[in-house]
Amino acid sequence: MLILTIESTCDETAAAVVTGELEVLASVIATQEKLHEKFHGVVPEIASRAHVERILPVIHETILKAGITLQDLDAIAVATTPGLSGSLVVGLMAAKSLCLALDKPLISVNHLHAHIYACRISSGKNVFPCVGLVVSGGHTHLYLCHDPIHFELLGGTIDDAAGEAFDKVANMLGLPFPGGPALSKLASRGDPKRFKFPRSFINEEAIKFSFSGLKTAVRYELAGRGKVDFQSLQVDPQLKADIAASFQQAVVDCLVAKTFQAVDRSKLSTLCVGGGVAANRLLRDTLTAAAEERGLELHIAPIQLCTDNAVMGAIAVEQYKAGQFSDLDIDCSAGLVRMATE
Amino acid sequence: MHRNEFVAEDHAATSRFGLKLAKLISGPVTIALNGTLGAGKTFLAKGIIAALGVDRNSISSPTFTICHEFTGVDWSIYHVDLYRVSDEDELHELGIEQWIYGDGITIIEWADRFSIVNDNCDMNIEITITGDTQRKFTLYVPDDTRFENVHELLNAGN
Repeated sequence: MLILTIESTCDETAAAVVTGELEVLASVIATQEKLHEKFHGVVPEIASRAHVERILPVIHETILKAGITLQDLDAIAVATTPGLSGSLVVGLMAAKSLCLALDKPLISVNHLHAHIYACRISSGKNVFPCVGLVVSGGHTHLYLCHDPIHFELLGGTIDDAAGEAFDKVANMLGLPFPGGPALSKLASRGDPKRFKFPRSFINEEAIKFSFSGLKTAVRYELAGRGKVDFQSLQVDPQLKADIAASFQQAVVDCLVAKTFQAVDRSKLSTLCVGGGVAANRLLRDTLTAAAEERGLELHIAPIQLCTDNAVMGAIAVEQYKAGQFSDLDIDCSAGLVRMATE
Repeated sequence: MHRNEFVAEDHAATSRFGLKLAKLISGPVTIALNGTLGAGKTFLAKGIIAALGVDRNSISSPTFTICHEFTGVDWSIYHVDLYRVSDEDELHELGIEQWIYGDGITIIEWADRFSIVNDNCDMNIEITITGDTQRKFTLYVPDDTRFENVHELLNAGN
């Protein structure tokens, strides 16, 4: 079995070819492949037009690298939710067009489920059933993953995603974007216990995250309440490092506490973690230690599968086996949006 | 231009203010939410959008994804955040017009990063941090719009 997977939910335009045995024949991510040389050096970070410009060269390169032809494919998979609608639609239209022209079935992939499935790919073993944590710039969600095609959302952030909190606090500290790695580096020189920043919901039953109040608390500590230009703010370097360390500790404490709360309630013994923030060293180490102590099987996606990529779209292999195909008239769905249930 | 100020003492009061604003919305409209990091733009947006019938828990910050779309009861709701948008070209490539001039209810955080956005809203709300939980909301409403009587409407029922 050969499946072409396409990813265009946010900034990256990516494609991969995977086999039924989850072997990756090719994986291309536009921003890493220096495709911008083909576009006169202009690659806007976030723009559906950028996806439009990149999607065909990315697919072409992926097929070439895989050493196959389009006709060899058994199906075409594309991430259709969640994401920015203008970006999602580009990947979806490309996938639909290929399906129509080649007479191949279409598989619609959930981008967040795919982030967890990255652990299945990297571990090379069946990780289901498991509790899944997706923690990234746009999302912080916990799932009960019954099997590779049945994911139950347990809860998520009610305001900022963890990665967003990292980026915004990094911005306040005058660090460059993306803030995660820079903030962690600064935090390594700081005292994580100096400031007692809030840890929302940590002692509550609800599986929820909130990082907005934490961000505000950091702001008060750093710059008070008035209008400030964070880029020109003069702050003692040790204070900065201590704030970074205390902030990072608060985020990690929340993520770890809620995750193990979910694991305990699920009575499962496997935990899978994916998404860009899963690259954070403190989070990885804390999860690893806690999992060891509890005798849990922990899988954290390797760094290259943490950030957006198309390889994790190999979850489509499971959908293919389950006969989960989509009609060519499906639409993409931008948000994790639900109407009020009352 | 009409300018009005409201003060909310805490989160609950801010949520009530959001509810009142939502009650003023009777059709497609674009509202700008401006203020520094931590001012509470997303929190106020949540209050407004939840009052329009969306599950509160599903309303989170759109900073990373730029826009969250909700299928509202009567209109589509767009919760937009321009924090991560770096220049006007990107704004146009994102299709900002579909949100500003679209037929849905649009709430735009960090609208003041781009005057072409900020100057084309039906209401602009500047949020100022005035205490640990206290916030001041300064509403700017152009003349001759449906929000011209915003002050009376918001004070009604107090």
